[in-house]
Amino acid sequence: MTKKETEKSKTYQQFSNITSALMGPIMMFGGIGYGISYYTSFNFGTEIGVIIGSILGMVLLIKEASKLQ
Amino acid sequence: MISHILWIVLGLFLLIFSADFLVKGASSVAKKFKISPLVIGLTIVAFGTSMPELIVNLLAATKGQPGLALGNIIGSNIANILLILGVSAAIRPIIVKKSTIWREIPFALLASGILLVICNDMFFDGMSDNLLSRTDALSLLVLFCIFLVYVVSLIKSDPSSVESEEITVYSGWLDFIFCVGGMTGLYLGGEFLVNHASILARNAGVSEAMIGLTIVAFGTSLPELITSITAAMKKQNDIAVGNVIGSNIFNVFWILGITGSISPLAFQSTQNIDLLVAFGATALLFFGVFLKPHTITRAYGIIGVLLYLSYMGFVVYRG
Repeated sequence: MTKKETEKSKTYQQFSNITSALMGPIMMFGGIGYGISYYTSFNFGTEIGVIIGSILGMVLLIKEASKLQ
Repeated sequence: MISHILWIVLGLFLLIFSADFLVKGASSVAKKFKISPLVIGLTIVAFGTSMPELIVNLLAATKGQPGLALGNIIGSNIANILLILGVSAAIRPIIVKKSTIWREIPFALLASGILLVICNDMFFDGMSDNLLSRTDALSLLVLFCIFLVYVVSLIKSDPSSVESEEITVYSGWLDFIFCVGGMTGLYLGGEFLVNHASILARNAGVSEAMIGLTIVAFGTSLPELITSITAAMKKQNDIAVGNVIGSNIFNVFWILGITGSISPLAFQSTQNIDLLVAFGATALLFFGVFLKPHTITRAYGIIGVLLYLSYMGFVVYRG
């Protein structure tokens, strides 16, 4: 790979890491919350799941961003 | 009516000062974990300073006031470009970097354009109502990640392009007080603001979107306005454009992304005018910097402020 290609692949890797750090927890906890709401009488499962997921996602995103230095 | 306005002002003060406390506490904790000042500035400070908008939006969305939530973001973006950059350029013309003209401003245009498309389900998809749904909001969050990688790569290629402030490290107890106090203040400020904005709108017979576009958006943009005026007076306003444009992109991709993921937002077709104004203001800025290459001129600044005042007049007239 040329130097330019290595740089490009590095950027894609960074994008992939940052996206999964933020989106992973949101999707996972949101999904769990949605499942809870769907199968029980608790109505706010998705909302609470996404809130927990986004807080965790934000922490993981900061951790991931600190690796980019 | 006056008492509700006073509660809203109190809420705004609480939001602004609590966000500042939270940023101080969280930055100190992050420094103890040996996170670099640049990353703290990019993430914790950026997330922390946008907390007032996020809390207002979250509370408004979960209380069933989507007009207030969307109005706050759209109004804030319009105020950022027309009022803050306008006042700043009117005091002293601003030099704009090449990367801001060719990357950040088009990114902000993209954010406004995408918002226009995803909010108009009735027009584009033939749906029965307009909704910023969870899937729309998750797409905004993915775009936010692209923006973050772009900002990091930009700073890595030119570290002098960002101002890294000195971060004070406090004792464990002070960190705890700053973080918990900041979060409590943010919640209380948000509650005061959202509840009383809603009552005020009902009593005055105007829409919640109007309160969001005017008082709330202006209030949450006030710290940036004061910072920009001070910077312009000290002849240091060159960094303002990047910050203001970055804040607009952040508002759409991050704040609306998180708010919409938690609670989908219903969109009124009448708010299309506000979205078009936000899009037009960004486009005006893009073309404005070509009048005198790489500069936001004093004339643009004055026109921007006049346009903002006219738009505010229109919003109040519309009710």
